[in-house]
Amino acid sequence: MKIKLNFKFLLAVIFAIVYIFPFSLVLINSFKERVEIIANPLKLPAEFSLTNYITAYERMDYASAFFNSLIITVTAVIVLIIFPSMLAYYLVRFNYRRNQIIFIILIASMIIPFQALMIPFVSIYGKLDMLNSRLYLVYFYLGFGVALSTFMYHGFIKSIPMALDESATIEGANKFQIYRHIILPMLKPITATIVILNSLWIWNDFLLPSLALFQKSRTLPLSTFSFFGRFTTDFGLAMAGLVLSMLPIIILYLALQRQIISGISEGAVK
Amino acid sequence: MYTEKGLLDKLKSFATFSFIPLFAFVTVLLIPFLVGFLLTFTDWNGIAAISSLDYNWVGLKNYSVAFADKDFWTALLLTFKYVILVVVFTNIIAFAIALLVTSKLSGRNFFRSIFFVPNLIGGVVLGFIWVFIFSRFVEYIGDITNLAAFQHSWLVDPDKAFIALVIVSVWQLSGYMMLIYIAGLVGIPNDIIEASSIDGASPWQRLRHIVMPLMIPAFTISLFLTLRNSFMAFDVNLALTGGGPFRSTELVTLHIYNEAFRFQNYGDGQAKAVILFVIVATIAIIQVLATNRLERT
Amino acid sequence: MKKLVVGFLFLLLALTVIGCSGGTADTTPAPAVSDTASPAATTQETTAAQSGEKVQVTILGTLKPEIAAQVEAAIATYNAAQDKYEVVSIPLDTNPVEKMTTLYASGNAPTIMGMGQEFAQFQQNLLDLTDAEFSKHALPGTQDPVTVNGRVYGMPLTVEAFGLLYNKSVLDAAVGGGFDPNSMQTRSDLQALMDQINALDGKTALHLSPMDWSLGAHVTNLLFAPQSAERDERLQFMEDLKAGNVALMDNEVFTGWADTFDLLKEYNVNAASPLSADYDQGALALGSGEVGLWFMGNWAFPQLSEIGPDTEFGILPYPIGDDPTTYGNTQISIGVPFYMVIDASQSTPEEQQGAIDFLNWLVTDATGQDYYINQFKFIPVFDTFTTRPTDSMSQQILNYLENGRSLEWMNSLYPPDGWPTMGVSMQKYLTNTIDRAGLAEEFTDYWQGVDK
Repeated sequence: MKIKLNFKFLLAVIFAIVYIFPFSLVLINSFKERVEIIANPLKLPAEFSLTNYITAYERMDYASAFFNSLIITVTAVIVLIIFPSMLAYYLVRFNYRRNQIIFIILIASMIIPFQALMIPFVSIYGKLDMLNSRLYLVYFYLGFGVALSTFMYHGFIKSIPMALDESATIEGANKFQIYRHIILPMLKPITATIVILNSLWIWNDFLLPSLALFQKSRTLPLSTFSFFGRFTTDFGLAMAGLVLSMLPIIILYLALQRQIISGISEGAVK
Repeated sequence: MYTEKGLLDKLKSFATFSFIPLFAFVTVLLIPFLVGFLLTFTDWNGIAAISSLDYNWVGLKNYSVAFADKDFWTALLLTFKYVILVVVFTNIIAFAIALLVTSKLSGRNFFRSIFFVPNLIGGVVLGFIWVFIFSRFVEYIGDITNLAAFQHSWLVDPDKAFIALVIVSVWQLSGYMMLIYIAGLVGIPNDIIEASSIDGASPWQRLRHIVMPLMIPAFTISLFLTLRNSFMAFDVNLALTGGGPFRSTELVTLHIYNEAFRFQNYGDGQAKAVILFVIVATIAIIQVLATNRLERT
Repeated sequence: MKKLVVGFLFLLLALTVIGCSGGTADTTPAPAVSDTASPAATTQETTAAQSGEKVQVTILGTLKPEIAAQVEAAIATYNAAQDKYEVVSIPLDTNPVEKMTTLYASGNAPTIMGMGQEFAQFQQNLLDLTDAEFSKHALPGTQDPVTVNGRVYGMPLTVEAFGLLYNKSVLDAAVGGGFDPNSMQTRSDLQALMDQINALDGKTALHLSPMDWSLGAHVTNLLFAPQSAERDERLQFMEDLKAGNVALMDNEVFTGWADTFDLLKEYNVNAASPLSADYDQGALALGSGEVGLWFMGNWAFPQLSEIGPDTEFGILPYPIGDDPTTYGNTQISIGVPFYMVIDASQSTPEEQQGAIDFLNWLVTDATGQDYYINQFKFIPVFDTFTTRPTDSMSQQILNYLENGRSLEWMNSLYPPDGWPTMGVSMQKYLTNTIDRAGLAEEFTDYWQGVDK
């Protein structure tokens, strides 16, 4: 048994090295000067200078971009828990023929190549004067993200036994109370996953903010782009900017891990 | 399943649970897509205001141009090859890693975070890093080991560049899918596992007959997501190989993007996007319905 | 339950916060109101103008991303120097054509944009600049690509040149002191020079960049431009190619051009794996003196001087034959990389006026010129400039230009898919995937497939 555990650990370590290696290159190079990186990206920096970080922080207008990214991501992620879980509950538990059709349309919509609707999208919302606003951006995220989150909730709600709903109905709960008190608490593990995936998507998203926030209120990915040139890129700054912009999401992930684990223990109690 | 009698009840539950998400979905995604679809039957150039109606109906001309484009079919064929490899390897690796980090393993939280890191690096920088690895690092290994495969950059050879593309995609996607498998695995009640252990099931039997059947919702989601993400792969393609060498690794979305925004044939590009949508949507719906049926049985 | 309440409260709070700031920061009037502007928006702008507030003029990007900080500084100086207009830069964060397309589609077209080959596609939306001050001072010929029916629609920003860049220290050592660029007149001269460099300890003759834009847009230009010293004949060559009337293998310039490219292939430091190099490696190789020559353009000068701050760099022609008098052997390709254009379809007349005023300031005002020459490091294309560039490479290019030793950038006449397609063929030829006949065939096939 002991040997087997060690084998598993070793396997995990090997995998971990493969997964972390490119990331460590980002970290190493974020301390180097541009020329030093071009000359040899694999070498350790001559000195660990924070110059790149300081310059990147200033050039990115980090504080303001961070605030924008945060407010947009947090709001959109919350919206993308509430509405899709309700929609999925509706689609699973209410027995209508059209629910099946809605579900299929939702799935199909996830296949649409973004380029196919990009121009009509900006054209319509430009006319309605709804671009260049963070509030509408959150609304757009709901529209673009609702299908995937609903799809993920759908599968998990289906695996919750109807018996739970029925006993609650007998006790006099209405549909919303069932959703709120029976279904939603049982969705914790998948909710944690959806939160991570959506925050990852929205936090790192480049295309939608670049279409919908063309002037002010830049997000972090947009401001990182200022380090990229036509022929060449200031890679030291870009890497430092990248590390700065992914730190918050790593922290979020570490925080949500506990949530996932608490999901396990609740599963055991049930 | 609930069944409601009165129209008012039906309306009320629809309004409570699904009006807002469906409204956002229809206005933000569906309508622009349908408008875009209609535009494929016109000679709209991508610049004139859509409401100006300053363009002509051309019927199926854009589609006949798209169907006649050999490069489009080459790109589509390559994409199929890519999708098969990525879907298979991603899911195997992601499931294996998820099993590993949900088992009794010291430092498993640490490992979970590590496997997840690839998703934090996106776009151009990801490409930059991997370009380094496949060109400089590979040559560096070649110098040390004298292995023929590592003598030159992988990105200058059409076959190796394609393999590189698959490796990076699997590397990135598997961390993502691991999360979904973890959610599925932790959702399995412990007593079921314990009961089977007491019954004397071997770990493999337990996995095959107890765990995997309970994991079908996670498989449905994960298969669908890998299918979708690999069909839609764009960033990695653009950043890592840019379709090169000699457009030999140009996947279909990059092909469409180039057509519309680099070669400025907006109509053809849009028509190709619709064709791609029809193909992938058919595959994906079949997949989801098939695995949904599995869940029922 | 408690958590959900907290969640909802937070959501409410967040919505209020974005709602409020949306009311202040985000509702600055859309920079470019479409021609069907709502009455409200128009009144707002008129009142703004009357009350002495500045008219906002948007510019897409910062001329070149590499000089973003300097351009921002110039804009700030301009904004402070007058009280009628406020120039604001819209970040250019994707492929420019994509960005302009989406901005036009959304009715938010910037007032000032930089355009290259996409000019033709957008031309109907652009402002006629024939009577603008800067148009009267542009050097002859620089406005040709943006002239439609005798009207001028763009301002040439600067000129750039490409050819064989050299590191003077390496060449000095190779020829035994005092390298004279004018000694290079033919392909044999070039070959002799490359042999001399190779003879040096630890030096290689040349770095050849394999990027499709370098091969497909720049190297191929040396096939089209030297076809004839007469512009009409060069254009006719392109037309003949489209009509399928050219046998490239029998074309003298093609043969000479390909012979030289073979030579470059042979002396290339990356000959063993010619596609693996990238732009930065080229800059590093030439800047550090590892190689003596690099086929590239003067836009690389900032990176070169970053790597070799005390080294002198220059530019040589790409010879196409062994007769010094042949057109193309002693000329370098000089052209306008892109044109500044002004939107006419979605911008108000005041905004258009402001755009012209800003561009005039940049090339006619003493402060603007100072930024142009000393900060942006541009080579001027206007007769209003009295100051001259200070670095050696720019001076050299200006000399070529003034002595009439320039080749046209025929690549600006390629269709949008021209250089990517020919770039792919060039990459195949570079790696010996196809031979010269194959290259000629792919070029011919491409041009015959071009519409019109």
